Amino acid sequence: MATVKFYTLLRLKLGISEVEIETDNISLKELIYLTKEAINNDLVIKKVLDDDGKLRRGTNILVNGQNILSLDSIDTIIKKDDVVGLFPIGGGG
Amino acid sequence: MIFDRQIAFWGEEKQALLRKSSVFVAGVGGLGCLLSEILVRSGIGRIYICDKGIVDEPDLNRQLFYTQKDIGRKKIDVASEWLSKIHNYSEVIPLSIDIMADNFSLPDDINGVSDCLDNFETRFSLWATLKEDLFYVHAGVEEHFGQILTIKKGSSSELSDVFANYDDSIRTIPVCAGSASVISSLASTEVINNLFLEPKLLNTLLIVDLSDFTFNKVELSSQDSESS
Repeated sequence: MATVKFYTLLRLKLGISEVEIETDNISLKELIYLTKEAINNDLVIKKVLDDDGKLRRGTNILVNGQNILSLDSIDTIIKKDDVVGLFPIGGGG
Repeated sequence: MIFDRQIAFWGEEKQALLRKSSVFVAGVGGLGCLLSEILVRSGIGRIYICDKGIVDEPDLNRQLFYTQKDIGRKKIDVASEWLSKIHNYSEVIPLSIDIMADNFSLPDDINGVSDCLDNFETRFSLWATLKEDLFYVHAGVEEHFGQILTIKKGSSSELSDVFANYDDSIRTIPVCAGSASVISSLASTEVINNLFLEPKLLNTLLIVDLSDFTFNKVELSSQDSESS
């Protein structure tokens, strides 16, 4: 099972800190849609994907601690036991 | 003696290490004010404070050095006046320079950098000028959450990779004194950890959410580290 973890604002707004998704060898984009089904909340899609289905800026996504933009972005293949972390970035100083 | 209470905590040897240390603090705003004060009060030998900003009214809710009478003054002037009043064990060097400028370079004598900046474009420029093996403690804050991280050139993730999906388009970042002060206190602790050569957040992102006091650590990896 892949684990999807939510941090800070996303965790608060979704009301859940993580969810496990039974899957293997699917794209991150597909995983996000499965996550939406599992938690019954489409906010997770709105935070990650824009209206054209492309990655939206502002939410950092790490797969096993590596930013997806160093991988294949939303086409990154997610395997069972992968950990996907989603968090808004605190930009201020 | 000024440092008695902390020498009782971490010992003479570490206090002497701090006295010999030099840190570059980028930004003296919501994070950099308290952080640089903590570094001075801890007895760091030399502290560069770098900011090209002017004190503005909306700064006063969280930027602890500034008062209404300072509005319109250079932040580093007010900041260095305050820091220099605390004691004379630390040399405070104010720098009113643009980190984004082509000719920007970090001082040669620093042990590392404390990133208290308010946008990622400038952070990436600063990171690009860092020499290998120097520490870079990143801190960022927004609303009631923030993150802290230590990275080093050549031996950890790249700053621009970790925060690759940043969004600098929001120009007025919502933030308050409580969250900025907590994040800057945590970042100052990690700067001192680095000066003791004992970083606790090397390649590990600490995500702090004060809305319900949740702290999470996320270990980072990079293509380089995975292939090595």
